[in-house]
Amino acid sequence: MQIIAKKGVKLFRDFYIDMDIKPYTFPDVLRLPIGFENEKIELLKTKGDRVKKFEIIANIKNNIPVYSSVSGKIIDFFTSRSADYAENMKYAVIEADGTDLPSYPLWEIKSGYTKEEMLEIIKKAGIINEPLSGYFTEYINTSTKYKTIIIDCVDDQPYDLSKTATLLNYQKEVVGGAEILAKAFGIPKIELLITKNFRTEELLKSKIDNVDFVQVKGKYPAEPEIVQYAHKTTALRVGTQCCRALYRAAFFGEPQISHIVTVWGEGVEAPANCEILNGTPTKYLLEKCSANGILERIVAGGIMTGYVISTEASLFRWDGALTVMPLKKHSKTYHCLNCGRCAEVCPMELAPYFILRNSNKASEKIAKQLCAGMCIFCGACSYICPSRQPLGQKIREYNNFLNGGSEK
Amino acid sequence: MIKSNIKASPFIHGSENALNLHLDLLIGLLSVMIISVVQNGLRALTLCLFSALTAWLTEKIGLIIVGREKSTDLRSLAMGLIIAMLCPVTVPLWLPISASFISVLFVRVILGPNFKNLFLTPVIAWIFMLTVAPEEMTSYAVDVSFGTFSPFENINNDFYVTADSIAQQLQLKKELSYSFLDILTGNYPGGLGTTCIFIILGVCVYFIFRRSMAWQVSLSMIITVAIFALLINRTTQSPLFSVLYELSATSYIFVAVFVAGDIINAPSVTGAKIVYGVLIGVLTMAFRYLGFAEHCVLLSLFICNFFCELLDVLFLYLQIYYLRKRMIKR
Ligand code: SF4
Ligand code: SF4
Repeated sequence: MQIIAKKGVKLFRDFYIDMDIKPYTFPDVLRLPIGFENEKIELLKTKGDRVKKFEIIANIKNNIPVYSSVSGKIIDFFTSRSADYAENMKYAVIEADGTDLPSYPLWEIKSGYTKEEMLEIIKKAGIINEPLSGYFTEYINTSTKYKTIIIDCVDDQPYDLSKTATLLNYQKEVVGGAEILAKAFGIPKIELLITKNFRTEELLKSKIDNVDFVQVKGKYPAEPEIVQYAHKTTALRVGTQCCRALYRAAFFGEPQISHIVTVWGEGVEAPANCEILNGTPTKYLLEKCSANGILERIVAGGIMTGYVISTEASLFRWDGALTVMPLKKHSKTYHCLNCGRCAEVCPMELAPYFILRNSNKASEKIAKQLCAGMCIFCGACSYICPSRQPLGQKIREYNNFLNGGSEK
Repeated sequence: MIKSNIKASPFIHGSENALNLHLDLLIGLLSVMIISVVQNGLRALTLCLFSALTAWLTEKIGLIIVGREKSTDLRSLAMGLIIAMLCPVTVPLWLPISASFISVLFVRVILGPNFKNLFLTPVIAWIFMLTVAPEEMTSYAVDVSFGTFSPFENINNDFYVTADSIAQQLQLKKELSYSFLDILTGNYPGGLGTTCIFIILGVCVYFIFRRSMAWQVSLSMIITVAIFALLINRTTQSPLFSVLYELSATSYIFVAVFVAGDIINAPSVTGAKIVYGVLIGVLTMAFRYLGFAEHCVLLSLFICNFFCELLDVLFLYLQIYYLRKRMIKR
């Protein structure tokens, strides 16, 4: 079985990185992202309080808990504008005291769960579904009769292999997580989506049974094709890290307090896949991977869709990559040439140059007419543009503006 | 509140830039120019170089005077070359030079990039040349070889034998006797750089490979004229020759590849590109049947260009309409 992404751009793909995962280290100070300000944050701790590892600091949205990933003292709360979402994220600053004691299981462990119990565990464990950049509990439609579980292991941006590394290192946990989910929901089939030419494809095939492989071929981004495929097959799509967290929640009673990130790029001497505790400042990761000299630009979340981050800031829990890049010295922009290449590559069949041209007349009517809201912010249009127009950025700003976000 | 450093993704870009696109066009035109110099002598070179240089200088100085950003592309050079190539090799030097000056000044300096799709530089130059020197623009020398004409001196038309262009011959229902090879190699009367179909098609393949042309426009132009030629054979020969003659008449293939198929001038939406090409083809044939032998392609282009933007918008909204419909279905 294959999925072919016909629209988009061809990006360089380099797989020469050690696929082992470096275990997490304990930073002295964590900046733990709690939630966006508009997500109904209910703080359970205040400045100066002591917290234990796995203790709930806050509840967000409909009672989704946010756990502390270390034991220590909360020394501050602060709010910062997130670069890619143009919304304000609330953080807790925790000074770790090094007294982390394993205190799980946090709930009753069983060998099998009903659908309702599984839904409860997914929520309690605060599991993130990384391909969809959000809490897994929010993406499950309880009224849908899912026919397949798709384990999404498609890393289609350069310098990002976090999903693949998770699968390679924790096959049992990833597949086990998908299996227990399938059992609880009564889903008969599990499929694994992998990128074509993936050098460990054969290795995976020899190690993983009970799972059908689906190859994702073609251009970047594969996202629209995957979404379409999931829709066609009435599938529940879960990332490899999400499956692993599910396994650990179901069999160890452990909430998700860490995730795996690929640290790579031209400024990194020893690229690696690293597990990090939620809230770990990026400088710890960079030190671990020997990022030396002047770190010109640090990008979190993939070089096609990510955002610039400082060494003190921490990653969102769904960010699978941290890339150190040189600054582009010659990124002069020209007038739009009207060449139409951006429209040719847009996987959503939008007309980016047209949206860009009209983005000054920010009106909801025009945005709707041009379907600007359908943009998936893949950046393919900006990548291909010979005039170096900031198409992706403008469309994102335009959308944020129309959604009542930041100023343009 | 801490302010984060907002920078936009993506953080990598493709290797193509605007300069590459202009460079591709220039490489294509220079290849055609070299063949033209081999066939027509050094006069072809002087006409091309002077025209290109005038166009470039006009833009450079013009933009400085009007205070807009300095021209950094090579496009004006390419425009100058196209203008010279549309002329017969016998035209006086001042003609392409003044045409380049006026058209670049009008289109690229005065109107600027916002109106680039309304008027095309070569079309404006061609209108100018045809108005001020109609005879020189429509008389073609035959039996030209490398040393026939002086590179700089004005040429008196008593010194060379002229022949009707293919378009004129088709219109006058004359018997045409050019072979397939003559047409491919450019051994027939026409603009100095527009006759050698072989090299123009070679350049076209290069452009397609480099994705630097709107091939949909050129292809639909060619197919439309070919269909007309098959249906209405104006020659006494087989339908295949009818197709060949209609395609080679009035610099049709050259204009299809270098002017109409220019990625920067053509519409951006695929459907619009195809309709634009078909429209040019239909209008060209209509003008030919109405008796505008020599002027039909550029005249059609001049007219169709006014609808370029409209076609884009129309097809864009059609595309979005179907997109929405598909989304609702899902
Ligand atoms: S318009 Fe949006 S979806 Fe289309 S290519 Fe650009 S970023 Fe991607
Ligand atoms: S790719 Fe760039 S130059 Fe071409 S139409 Fe789109 S925005 Fe304009």
